[in-house]
Amino acid sequence: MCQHKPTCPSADDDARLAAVPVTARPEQGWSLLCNRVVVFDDTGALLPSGKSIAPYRPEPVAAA
Amino acid sequence: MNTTHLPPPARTPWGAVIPDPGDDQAAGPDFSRASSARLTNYLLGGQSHLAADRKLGDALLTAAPDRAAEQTAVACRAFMATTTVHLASIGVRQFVDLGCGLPAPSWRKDTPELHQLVHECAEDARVLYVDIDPTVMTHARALLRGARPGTVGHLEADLTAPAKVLTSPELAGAIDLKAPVAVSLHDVLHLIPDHLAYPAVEAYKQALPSGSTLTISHQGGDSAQLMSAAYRSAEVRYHPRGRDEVARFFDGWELTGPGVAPVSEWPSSLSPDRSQALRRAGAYAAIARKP
Repeated sequence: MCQHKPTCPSADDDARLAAVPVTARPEQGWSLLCNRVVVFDDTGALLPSGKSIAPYRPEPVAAA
Repeated sequence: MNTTHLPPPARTPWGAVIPDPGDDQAAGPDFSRASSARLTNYLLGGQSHLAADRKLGDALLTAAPDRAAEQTAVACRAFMATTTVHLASIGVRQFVDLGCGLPAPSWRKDTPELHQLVHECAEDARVLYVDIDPTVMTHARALLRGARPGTVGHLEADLTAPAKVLTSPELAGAIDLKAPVAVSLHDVLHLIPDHLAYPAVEAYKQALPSGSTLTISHQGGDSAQLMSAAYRSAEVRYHPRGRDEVARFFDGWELTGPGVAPVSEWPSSLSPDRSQALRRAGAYAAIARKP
C-alpha cells in the first residue's frame, strides 16, 4: 500500500502514526494511513492485525 | 373477449398509463406504516421519509435524552465506515451488506456509502447490497453504483432466509464463497426476533470460508429500552439486545479490536468495559474473524 520513498513506518513500528493518510473522513474523525492503520482523531488506532490502541491520555501533572 | 368493452386505462395527471395492479394490490408497500430504512433516513437528516416515519422518529428523539436515537444512527454509520476501510485495507475484497437500508443523504459527507469506502482502498473489490424492502432496493440500484461496472451487486431478499440469499444468482455473480467475505449487519438485527436472528447469522457464518469477517452494529443498552414504547405504538418490530446477547452472534469466531463495545466508543475512546460508556451506549458493535 505504501509507495513512498523513503518507506513510511510499518504498523508494528512505534512511529506508526507518522505514515501518510490515504483516505480520511474528518467529519467522522478518522484517517486510514498508508501502513493500513486506521487512526482516530482522539489518537486511538486500529491496527491491521485487528488490535486496538488506546488513545494517548497523559496524566495531568499535579501543581507544584 | 372483445377488448373494446374494457374501461380505458387509468392515467396519471401527465398522461402516462397506470399499470393494472391486478390481484397484487395487497403485496405493495404500505406507506402508512413506518419503515426502519426511512426512519434512519429521517434521523440522519435525509428527505426520503414519510409522515409515519417522522412521527416515530420524533417520538424516539423525545423518548431518550440528548437525541440518543440520532446519535446512535450517526455512530452506526461511522462504525460502518471505519470497519469497512479497516477490512478493505487488510486485503478483504468481497463485501456483503445485509440490510443495507436507504442511501444516506447526499449532502451528508460524514456518512459515506460502503462501496465508496471499499473502492477508495481497492477499485476491483466487489460489494453486494441486500435488503428486504423493495423501495430501498430501487434506491440502491439507482444510487449505490460502482465506478467500474460489475463491482456492485444488488439483491432484494429477506436476510432471515440465508439459504435463498446464499444460492441467489445475484450473490453468485458478485461474490466467490471460496474466498474470504466481509459480511456486515449494520443497525438491522434489532428488527428481527431471536428465533430468526440467531439461526440466520449462524447459517451465514457456516457458509463463509476461513478468514471471513462478520461485522455487527446492534441497538441495545439503556437508551434503547426507553425507545421500546415508541416502536410498539408505531407497530415496528424492535428487539434491542444487551452486550452479552450481541456477543452470542459471534460465538466461535475471534473478536478483533476492542471486542463487543458501545458503538460510539468502539474505537476505544473509553475503555469498552467502563460502566460510564456502557450506560451511554445506544448500540453495541464488533468485528469478528472466522478462525
